[in-house]
Amino acid sequence: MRGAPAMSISLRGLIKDYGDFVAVRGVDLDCPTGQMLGLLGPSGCGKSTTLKMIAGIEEVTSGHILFSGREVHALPPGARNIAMVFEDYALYAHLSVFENIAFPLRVSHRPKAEIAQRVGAILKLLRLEAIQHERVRKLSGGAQQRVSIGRALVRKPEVILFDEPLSHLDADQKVQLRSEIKRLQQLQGLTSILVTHDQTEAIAMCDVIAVMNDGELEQVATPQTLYDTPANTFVAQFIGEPPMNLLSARLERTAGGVVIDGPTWRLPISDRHPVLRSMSGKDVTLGLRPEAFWLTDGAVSGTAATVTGKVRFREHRGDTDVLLVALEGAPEGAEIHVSADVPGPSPLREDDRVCLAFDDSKISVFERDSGRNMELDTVAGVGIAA
Amino acid sequence: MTHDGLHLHGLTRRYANSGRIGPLDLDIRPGEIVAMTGPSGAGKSTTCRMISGLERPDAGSVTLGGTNFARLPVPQRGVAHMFESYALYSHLNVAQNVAFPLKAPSRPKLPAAEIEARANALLEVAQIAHLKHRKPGELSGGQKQRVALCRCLVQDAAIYLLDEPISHLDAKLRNELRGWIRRRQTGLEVPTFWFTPDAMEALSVADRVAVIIGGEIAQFAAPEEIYFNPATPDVARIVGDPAMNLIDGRLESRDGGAMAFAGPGIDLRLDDALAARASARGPRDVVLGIRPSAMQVGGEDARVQVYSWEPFGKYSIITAMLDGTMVRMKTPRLDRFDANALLDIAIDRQGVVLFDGATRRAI
Repeated sequence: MRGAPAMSISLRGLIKDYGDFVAVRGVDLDCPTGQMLGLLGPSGCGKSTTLKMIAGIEEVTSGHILFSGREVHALPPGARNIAMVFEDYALYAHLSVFENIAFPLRVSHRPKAEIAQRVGAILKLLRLEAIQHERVRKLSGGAQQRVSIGRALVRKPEVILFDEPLSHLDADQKVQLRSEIKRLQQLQGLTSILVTHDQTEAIAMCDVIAVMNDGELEQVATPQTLYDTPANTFVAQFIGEPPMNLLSARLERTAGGVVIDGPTWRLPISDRHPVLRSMSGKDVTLGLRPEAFWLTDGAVSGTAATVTGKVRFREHRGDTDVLLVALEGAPEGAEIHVSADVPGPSPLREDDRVCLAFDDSKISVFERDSGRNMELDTVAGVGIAA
Repeated sequence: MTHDGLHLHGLTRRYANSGRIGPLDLDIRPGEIVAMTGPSGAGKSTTCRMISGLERPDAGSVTLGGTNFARLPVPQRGVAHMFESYALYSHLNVAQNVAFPLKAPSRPKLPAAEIEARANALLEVAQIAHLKHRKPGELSGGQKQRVALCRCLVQDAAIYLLDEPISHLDAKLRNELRGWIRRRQTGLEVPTFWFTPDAMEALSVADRVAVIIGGEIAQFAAPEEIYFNPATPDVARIVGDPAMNLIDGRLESRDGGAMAFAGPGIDLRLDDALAARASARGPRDVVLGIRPSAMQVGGEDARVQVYSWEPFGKYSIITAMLDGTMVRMKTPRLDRFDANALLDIAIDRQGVVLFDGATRRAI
């Protein structure tokens, strides 16, 4: 089974102004043919509003929406050949799985034989054949959402828009459906857009993710780039769990070169940071992922550095433990914490003293005031929104 | 208030269709957080509502500090209950919603300034202080959830019941609030009962975890115990990120007395410790559990076909078919694995457990 030829989507200067508040503040974005684009951000960031404008169910204040280069401003939702998958499934509870999927075809009066053939192909694709005669209200949330995806696919849309499709599912069903959607999207080459507040879902499913905040784009990049080279402190803390540690520091010139004068330690800057070496005397924010730390007895070599502190809190995460560590040497009355993701279960308890090592090449450095990643100028393809 | 904590004795709720929640037996010590986790419909919210008095149990009892709740009118139980549905007052703004329990006629009157200070402190931590004049109708789901959480925690309660307190928040906020709530609640000398469908959230926040499945507690133990030694396949099925892989097969004796697991697409020699326990039982139908992190690319234990691949920055999850059984592997490798590719894999015996096929208990 193949869908209709997929198309690309482009947004240019898209704005949504509700009068008393501006939900989307000039967004430029491209979703190439056959890819899945994620719109990721905290509640109220404008991601759902953007999706609704693409679907044509929310009016555009200004700017352009282009489907394969064609302006769709004048097209009503029904003429855009897109399908939507909703958070709450929006199925017909009294109908069977088969009839729910067949619904769009019955509405458009397709011949019986064609309906049977097209719905049959979808049932096979989504592994719903065994339950095709069951009423949807009896199914689990995950199965209901698969039916809703089937109903979207059966029309052979050129674009599928997913609006928080996994939000209401139990954890195991989330993991299951996540991989199903990803496989389907790739094998079918569907152009699709996913709106979610859950970074795990976006990372798992999307080719490219647009991180939104307060109606604007913070960064548009592949999941791996967002993780390795976040454009700013917002993205740094929104991608990854637990979030990246952020610590105040200062770049200082010494006899041997430039060092990072950290909250409780000093680090020479390795060759990886050419921009940083030219910027002594600057206030910065250091970013260090919790998984960049490892426990040590103090002896490290190469580019590794260490910090010591006391365990304040330990969280079990199964294969790993997350330690919240209060750093030694912090100013009186101002505890500085880092979280460290270490192999679990660790025998550590609260108030135990630990030595944490990290590779100094794993540090991100952000300008203090703007929060901007200072390495951006030296890293190609980070993909900041224009 | 110091006492011997919360005790559920045979607490049971029966339904007309012969469905049943319970009998539940469980205790929570003062200053302890116990989390109840399980799939939706397993009985979490019903348990919560029976404790707070919103639903009447058909049998059994709830005692707190030795006092039987059945003999106490609901307002005198001292229960602070955060509802999964939030249950905010739509005509009151955020600040008024949070302050509401402190103004109840049944409690001693507090100075207005203190009420405001207590409400503000919580709103700051929940990062919604800037929304304090908004009505619930003007808030997102995640913001409403935080208002409900503040309204629960603002009270001086004898027990706190948190029904899905952070489920609708983004990862960063969830992470911050999880740690903050834990530190706060374990510093109080009262029990906290936390309900969540997310087993990993339960493991990270609680001192002990009760896994409820089909209305019964399948396991009640420390987080490490639940994770590394799940009592039943149903517990294993929901714990982990992603959860443990389960494969039906048979336990067989091999030449020389070695024990092996034989299942579709896999024939696995067991390590000594597990083999010793297994051989005491003899050949039988079993379920093999393999943690996703114990399955690695490259090896001779099995061959799988890639179904889908999800790269997560620090690790990847590969979903694959093992002769018709879907399995998930968590690998530190970040290179691309295309759908339908064949992979030979190794299985670390440390990440393997066995369940008796008939009794459904761990071997």
